Amino acid sequence: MEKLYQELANILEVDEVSPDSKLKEYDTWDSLAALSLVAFVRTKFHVAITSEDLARVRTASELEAVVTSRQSEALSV
Amino acid sequence: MLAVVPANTRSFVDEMENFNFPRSRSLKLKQVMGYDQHRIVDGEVCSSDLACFGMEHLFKLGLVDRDCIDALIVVTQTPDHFLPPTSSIIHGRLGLKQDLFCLDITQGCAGFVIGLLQSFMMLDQENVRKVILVNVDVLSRKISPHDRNSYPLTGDAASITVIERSEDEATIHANLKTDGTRREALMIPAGGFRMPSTASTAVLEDDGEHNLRAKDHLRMDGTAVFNFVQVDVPPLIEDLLRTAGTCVCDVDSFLFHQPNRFMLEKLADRLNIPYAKMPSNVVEHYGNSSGVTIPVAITHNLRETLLSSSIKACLAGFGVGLTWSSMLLRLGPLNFCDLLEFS
Repeated sequence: MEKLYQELANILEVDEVSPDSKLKEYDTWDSLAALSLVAFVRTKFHVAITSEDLARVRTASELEAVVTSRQSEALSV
Repeated sequence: MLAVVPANTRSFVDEMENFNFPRSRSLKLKQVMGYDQHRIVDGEVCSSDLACFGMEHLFKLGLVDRDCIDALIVVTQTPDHFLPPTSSIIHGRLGLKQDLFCLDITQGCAGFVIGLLQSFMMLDQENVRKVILVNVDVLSRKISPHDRNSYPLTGDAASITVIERSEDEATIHANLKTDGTRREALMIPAGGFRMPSTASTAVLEDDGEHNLRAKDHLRMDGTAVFNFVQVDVPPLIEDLLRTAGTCVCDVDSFLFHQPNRFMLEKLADRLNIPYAKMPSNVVEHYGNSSGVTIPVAITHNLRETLLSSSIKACLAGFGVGLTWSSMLLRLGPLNFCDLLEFS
């Protein structure tokens, strides 16, 4: 999941994103950032995160939890 | 095939001040999505205006005989009126013969492939020899200029495709899917009978992400549409190619609907299609004109090729509905293939 944090930092144009970082508090968190993130997760982790997920998650660690749970759902199918 | 685009060019950089976002973020959006110029109708221009302009051009050049048209199919989401059908309006304005089948189809981004499917079905009738397929949308008139999600990518356009039976019996493969449970991903909520337009539906509201739009305007759930294109379109194309007994390497050109360069490149990556085989430059030059993007992609990129030779083409449209459809066919040589400016 280190890659997820690296990409979040890249998308949000900051040096580092920690698990407690609140996504919506960044000035660079907008629909473009959201779409870039959705595209990254789909390409790297092969799962979909939805607009409902993005509305719900507050921190980077909550986002990580969504990605992890989607991956385990995909494996159990 | 003829595409018609408004002469009126707008640039993303000029329009950035309408968006409630920092300039640097809008410039990044421009770079990632491939936004640059788009074509927007002036004022009160309607779908039938663009369509009739294109048809008159074809009549004038002698490319179509006004009296030899057996069916007129108009695919649009922006009719001149609720009724009569836009096909009847075009029929009347052009003075076409009475012995002619007029049909409107309400479809968006899959509208070119669906219009072709309907045209082919009509040509199965013995006395239908020539079908005119018009794809046209002036959706910019239903998009808020303060909506950075949708406005920079929109474009208005029309296309006219003349379809006739050919002597050779080449097989055309196609598939089509619909999922109405996701119908709200792309929607204009107000203006129909469910929610008539009133003063309150015209009020601009912040969507929580700094975009201002009214219920009378188009709204798009960008994430849902992205996931749809990435998840549902690749299997559609793979099924089509498998059924046809062919593969990506045997297809000369993948002429897909043009939502934006970003989504098309992700789709190409997923399907292992080389970018050189899949044009993705329509949005940056003209904007996304929903059902008209495939004809614009063809006339802009393949004009010379298709006037002199034929290619094996895979078409795909995907969007509002949600609807997604693809088609594998031999395209060309065409009698005409041009892009015309409406002014």
